[in-house]
Amino acid sequence: MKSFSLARLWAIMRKEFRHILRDRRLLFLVTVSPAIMLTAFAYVFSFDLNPARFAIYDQDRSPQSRNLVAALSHDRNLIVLGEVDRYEDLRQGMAAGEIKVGLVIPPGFGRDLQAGHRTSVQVLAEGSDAINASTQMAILSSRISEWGQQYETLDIPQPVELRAITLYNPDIKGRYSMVPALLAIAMILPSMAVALALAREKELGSFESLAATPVRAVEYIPGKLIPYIIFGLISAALAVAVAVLWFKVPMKGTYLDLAGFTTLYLWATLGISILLSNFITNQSTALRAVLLLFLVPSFFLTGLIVPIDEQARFVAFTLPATHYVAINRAVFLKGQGWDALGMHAFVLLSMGLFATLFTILTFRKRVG
Amino acid sequence: MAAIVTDHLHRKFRKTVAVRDLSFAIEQGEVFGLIGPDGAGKTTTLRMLAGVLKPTSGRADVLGEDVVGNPEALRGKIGYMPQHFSLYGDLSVLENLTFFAEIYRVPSQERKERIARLLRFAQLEAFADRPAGKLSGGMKKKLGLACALIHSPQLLLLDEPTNGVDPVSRREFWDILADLHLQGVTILITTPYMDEAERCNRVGLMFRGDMIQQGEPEALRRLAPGEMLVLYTPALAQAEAVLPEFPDYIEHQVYGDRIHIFVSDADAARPRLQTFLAQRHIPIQSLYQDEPRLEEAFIYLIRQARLA
Repeated sequence: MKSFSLARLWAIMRKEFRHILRDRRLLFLVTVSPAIMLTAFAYVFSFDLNPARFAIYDQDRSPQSRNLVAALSHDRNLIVLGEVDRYEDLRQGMAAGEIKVGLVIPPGFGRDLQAGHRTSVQVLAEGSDAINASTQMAILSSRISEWGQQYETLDIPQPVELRAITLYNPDIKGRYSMVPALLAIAMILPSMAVALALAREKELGSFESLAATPVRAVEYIPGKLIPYIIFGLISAALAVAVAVLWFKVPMKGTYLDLAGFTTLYLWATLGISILLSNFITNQSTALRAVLLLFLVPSFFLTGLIVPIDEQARFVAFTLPATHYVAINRAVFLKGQGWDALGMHAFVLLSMGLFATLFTILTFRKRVG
Repeated sequence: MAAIVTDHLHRKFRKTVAVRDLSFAIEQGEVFGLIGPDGAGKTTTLRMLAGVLKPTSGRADVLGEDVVGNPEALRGKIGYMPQHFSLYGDLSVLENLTFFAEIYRVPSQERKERIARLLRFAQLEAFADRPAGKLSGGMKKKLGLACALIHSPQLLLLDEPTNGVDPVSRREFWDILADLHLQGVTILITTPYMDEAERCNRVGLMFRGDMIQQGEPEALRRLAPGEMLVLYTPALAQAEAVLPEFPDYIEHQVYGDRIHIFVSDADAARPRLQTFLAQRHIPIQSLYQDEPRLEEAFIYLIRQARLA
């Protein structure tokens, strides 16, 4: 670290700020593009459903079963399409695609409940659209369980056998868990910008002038990173605003915590990008490297859309997005902070720190 | 004392040798011109001396510092201007100069005065706020030079600083270099222009990674093979075809509408060449003796090197 100069670091930072502010495409990339990407993806990957539409086959016709049907009919997340008199009608309705979910109340349902016995209902789903079906089933199930609680006794804690407990997102709003997670994908865009910035410096030749000056890696690399982290935070603020104001995602945690976690995430992704572009001399390769190493795996391996696969767990762990997805869901939906998420924060911090140090150590003021 | 001493400086790119065992020295205060055809290794040499390219082997001492082992030691003492525009096109002339002043840690009390002087020097005062990318070719080069001079270096490494620049700007550029030379700055410059090479104290001719000749322009000029006759003729192609049959012929070079013919004794050869061409029905517009320039000498030397 000998002859580190704050003045030089500041000179590099000022220059980077000017580059960003004067290049409209770059400015777009590091300010509003994450918010736009988040909006687009939130609609594309929205597993939010219309209210579950289902038909009922009440074989029991007891006061209890009628009470259940009435309770379900008044739920705003459920639409009762109608009642059928034959099992066959349910199946035909499903085959025709008119009915997605069916509820069958067996004979003796009311009697069993009355007698304090455990009883059961059947929920049928048309599984060709699996995600849809399972979500609708889950909604219906949780409503039935809630209804059943009135018959709870000490002996029979769950009188209606059908359990689907959904924590934190009781309405199972897909968007509520999706939007905070998508934030992680959207915030990869600033790291694309920094990879481009270093590659462009080499491509345009200004790197050769700079390489002949006394500037040091400890000034140059942070001087490049810091402006992009600052702009990254601005773009994150815009994206979070979209999540909260437009998609109405509940924010149970604090914005200060989120800003802190986001800084760590930006440092990790930007740091890794700059490390990559350290070994790359042109912009298109740099862009492809970031896309291939960050964006694509982050989509599939970080638990964003599908739960993290057991075999991919290690890969997932090495992706900053995995940690940020977990952090965001926890901050937004559970209101958790540094205590609960310290591990993820630590991983991100280590990634940023090591990527930056490694870049500084491997940085060469050479052109060939 | 020598400003630059290289010892078997060698650089390979994969299997291609760009610079081959180069050993030469430049004295302090000298203006040294590196010339040679494209691919001769001039840019590679300059890059190694500027410490932005690591030699494959060999050694170079620049201003007493070992460039290979410790390139950082000489950063503040040299000014390097790469071949291609390498400033920030989106920053203004003033912002570029200020940036390099900050990077070189020019004391802030001196900065303003020095930038003003360089702007005046490079005749860029009127363009201080223009983005560097929007300057003309000649102005870009002058700004490049100004940025390379911001820290008052003792040695300037200039890679084709006037290439693609109009003749007036070229002349202005050399006026600036002449001033710097008077101030005692050592200058190593590469150029494709022979008239510029003649303005150097010494010239080195590079070819295929080797320095095949070096010396004062006057001395190198004398390496041209014999004496020179200049022939103007409308039948250029026919003349070229028959010339090698002329008894006293050494070599010829075509320059647009004329041929420069080298013979051992121009006075004796002139009347005989006249007869020789007349016999072959080749019209002569004019035929006279002239002094060989550096250019003729270099073309001859490179042809010889190619044959070897």
